[in-house]
Amino acid sequence: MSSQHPLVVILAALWFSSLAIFIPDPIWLAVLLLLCLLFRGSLVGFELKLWVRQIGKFIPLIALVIIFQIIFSDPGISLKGGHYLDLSGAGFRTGVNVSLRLLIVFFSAQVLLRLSYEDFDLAFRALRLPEELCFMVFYVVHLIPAATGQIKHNLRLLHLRGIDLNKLRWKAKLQLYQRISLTVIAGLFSGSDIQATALDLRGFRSSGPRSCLHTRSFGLSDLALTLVLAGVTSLIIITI
Amino acid sequence: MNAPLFQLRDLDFAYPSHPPLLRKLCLTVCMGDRILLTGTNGSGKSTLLDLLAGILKPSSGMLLLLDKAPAEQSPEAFLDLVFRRQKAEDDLFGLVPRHDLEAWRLAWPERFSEPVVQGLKDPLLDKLDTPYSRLSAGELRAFTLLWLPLLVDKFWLLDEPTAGLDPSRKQRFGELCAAKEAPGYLIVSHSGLLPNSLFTRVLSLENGALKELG
Repeated sequence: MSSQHPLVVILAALWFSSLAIFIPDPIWLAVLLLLCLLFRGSLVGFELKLWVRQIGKFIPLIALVIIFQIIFSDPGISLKGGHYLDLSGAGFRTGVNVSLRLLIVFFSAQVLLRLSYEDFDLAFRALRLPEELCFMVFYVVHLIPAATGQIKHNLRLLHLRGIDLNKLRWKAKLQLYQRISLTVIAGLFSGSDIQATALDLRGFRSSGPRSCLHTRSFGLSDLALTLVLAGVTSLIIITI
Repeated sequence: MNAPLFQLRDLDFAYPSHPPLLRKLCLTVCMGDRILLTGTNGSGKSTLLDLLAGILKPSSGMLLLLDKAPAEQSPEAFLDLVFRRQKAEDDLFGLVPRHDLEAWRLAWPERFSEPVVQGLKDPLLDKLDTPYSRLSAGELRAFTLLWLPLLVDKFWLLDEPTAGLDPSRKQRFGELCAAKEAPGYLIVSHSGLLPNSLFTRVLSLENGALKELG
């Protein structure tokens, strides 16, 4: 995927998402989002159009979070006092923080999604962790994208049959959605089962030392990234 | 009946980070055509069908289903088409064949009514409630073709429809194609598996280019 060792990439993604949860300062969260975008860009390319499209999809959610926080948070500094409604400045700040956190977690998760099974295997092998764990983590990381793909596939099946969901009655629509969700859940379970069996058949969990087709050593770029992350962590600790 | 259904002009297609698979394809498919599309493995036959169904979008060039790109067409535009992919599991809706039947029934309530379906008298109807995971590959394939007799007035786009079928089902499928009046079909298959008499046009896809064989 990149010149970076997969373990460093995974740790960096976890670092971004963990810090996003713990940092209370919106400026630092904005800096973190920027760093996260740079990190993702350096690994898989700066696909600006894709980023804008992805952020665009978040806008309704972000707006909703900010509106709810402004209305329902403890007032703090009141933005606009009213008899029935007291708009909250603290709520606005919380709303911005939550939105930035969502974006950071989303973009760091996107980095993990670009890693192949082989990358996960290399990372877990470097930590001497069992391959079972690697398989489970890899499967869980890809669970939501796999489910999204299956939902789209099922909706396409209906589209290709000439069924316009918007024109269906509520009862029929609900029944279809229920079937789609059951199919997706069942597909994910049976998919993991099939993949586990396929791995078993390839000698997964067999005794003896593990062998691998491709190996990878840690390089200077891994050291540089680790130092940058450590530096930013120290800076955050000092300033907050 | 010979109105153009699909029109391709200088169509190029490449999967991301891969060399071009289809180059400058030009093709017009009319409602009455009976086309066999052949080609070696990996030549792009299934990809071409996915493009026609709007599952994939061309990298460049023009592709129209009636008057619009397939990917932008409304569901209504697909009412005159039956599309079957190479992997049978990709065509079946829900967890059991009954869910698939009921989805068809939503599109065509009378055509897929219970008496009409039972009138097909196919032994597979006893397995309508058997989960797909417990059906064999051949049975899954047979289920994807089971409703074709009820859809003879549609244009069929079928990707290797006889793969995995037993000889008697293969024969029945051939008979169904032979008896089918217009609209016609575009069938992806390796040459020799279906009699040439079923087709009015034979196309070969090799090295990204289409060649009309006869």
